[in-house]
Amino acid sequence: MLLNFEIAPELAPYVADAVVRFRYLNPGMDVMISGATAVIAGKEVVDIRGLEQQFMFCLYRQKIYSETLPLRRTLLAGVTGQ
Amino acid sequence: MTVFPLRFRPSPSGDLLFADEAGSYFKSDYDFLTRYALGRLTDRDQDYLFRNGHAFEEVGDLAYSGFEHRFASRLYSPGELDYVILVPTLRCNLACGYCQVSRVNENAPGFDWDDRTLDAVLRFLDGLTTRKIKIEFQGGEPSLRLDVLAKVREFCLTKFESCEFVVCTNLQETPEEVWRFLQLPDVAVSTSLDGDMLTHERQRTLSGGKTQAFLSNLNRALDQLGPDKVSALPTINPHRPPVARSVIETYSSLGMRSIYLRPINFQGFARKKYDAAASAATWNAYHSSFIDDLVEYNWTAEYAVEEYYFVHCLRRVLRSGHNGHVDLRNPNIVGYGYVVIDYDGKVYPTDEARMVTRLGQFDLSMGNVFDGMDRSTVDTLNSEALNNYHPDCVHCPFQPYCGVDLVDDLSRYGRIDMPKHLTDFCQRHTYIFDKIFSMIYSDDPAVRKSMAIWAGVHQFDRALARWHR
Repeated sequence: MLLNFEIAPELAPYVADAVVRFRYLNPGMDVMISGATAVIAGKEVVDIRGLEQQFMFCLYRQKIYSETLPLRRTLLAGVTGQ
Repeated sequence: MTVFPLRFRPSPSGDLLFADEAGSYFKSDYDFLTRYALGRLTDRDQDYLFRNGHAFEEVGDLAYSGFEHRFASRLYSPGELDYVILVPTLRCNLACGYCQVSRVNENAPGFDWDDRTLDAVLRFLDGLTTRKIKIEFQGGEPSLRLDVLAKVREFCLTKFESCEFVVCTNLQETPEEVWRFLQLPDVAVSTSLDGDMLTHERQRTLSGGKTQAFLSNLNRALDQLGPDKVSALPTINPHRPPVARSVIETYSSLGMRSIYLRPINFQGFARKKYDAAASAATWNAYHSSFIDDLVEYNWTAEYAVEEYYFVHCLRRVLRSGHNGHVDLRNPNIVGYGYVVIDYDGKVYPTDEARMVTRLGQFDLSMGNVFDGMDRSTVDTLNSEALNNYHPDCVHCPFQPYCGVDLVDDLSRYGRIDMPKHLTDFCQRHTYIFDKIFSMIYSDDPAVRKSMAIWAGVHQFDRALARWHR
């Protein structure tokens, strides 16, 4: 099984972290990044559309997490009085 | 305008659930997700997020402070120690298959408090600063040591302004002197009724005569003490569960409106026999069908029935401050608000910690009543008891409603750093919150009727099913 799709340029800084998380959630899958293209390869035939969605969710989540981490720290410090 | 961080999760109905760390939630579609993730929110998106408390203009403004308040009220902070579980004996007059590590035979010597232990426990209670106390007597069968129960109660009445006692008894053999204790105004009874009578006999009493004796005692307890002072819990074997309707009708026929379904907590060899992941899936399927049957039952029943844990989780979604269940808190700080004192005087942060120690997996004791408390071990655990920064939970919209149970993780896997989605705890709670949200967004009048009753409101307001389209 081989899945090939494009990644929007604004997501590029988060691809490396997203790949790590995706492989953590899907241990049998390999992910290769070449420019703006992601290639996911696996031995088993799986739901390809679902797999692309999962990878995009990892990317989105990583971007949201990275961008909002300072705010989350401020919020938690506020409620814990630190 | 800044948006408070949103987590998202696809739902079975094809849309996406979004929630923030303060527990506010709404549903939307994939287009909104893309706009949010890529920083392309429209004016309409921004207006919706701001009006619904998901965004603020500057740190410290009203929207920000309101969010902080909601966020803070989602977090659990242990109060003073005012809840103590006492195990005066491990001896029991039943030999239930699933209880092999927490009981011994009725005549076994060396598994009871002696006078020295009782004195030390009373000194321990005397050292508490709280003015109200809840004492839960567990076992074994605690009524086998009625003398100890009476002495503890007598002491507490002189020490504390307000006292509450719960006797966790199997109601199998209940002499008159035990009834006299159970009838005291500050004493309540917690017993086990494993679903229906057939299952109860198979799992617990093993004979028709003993089943009848239990049923007779249960009826007497309900008649003489009243249903408000008697609770019963079913322990369910997920691999051979009773028919849901039979459980509901058995409990409701006894006047009990709350059923707390608990899966058997397999220990030792029994745990190895059943694959943990498969067990969670089996349990979730049973629990889900049980909730569906409850909805169907409540649609026409004169008196509605609830499943306690489902309702607890529902209320954690709808409101903050529901921290009454010790296994579902965030942060789940153990060893402060309540403790367990075992038959040998050792102190544990939870009953599960007592099991883990007894099985020899880890020593999670925190001192004893003779030499004093030592919280060094549990404080190490407590430092990891927050889910807000867990690498899996940070992406989960259920995080503010969910919690942490590190003792359960230790017990099942021998470690606390398992990938969360592979743990029994996460699989069970992900299922239950998915189920809750599917019901919050349901148009089925039968579902909405049960949800209103369980949420404690007259009507289940459609505004609770928030959408941004």
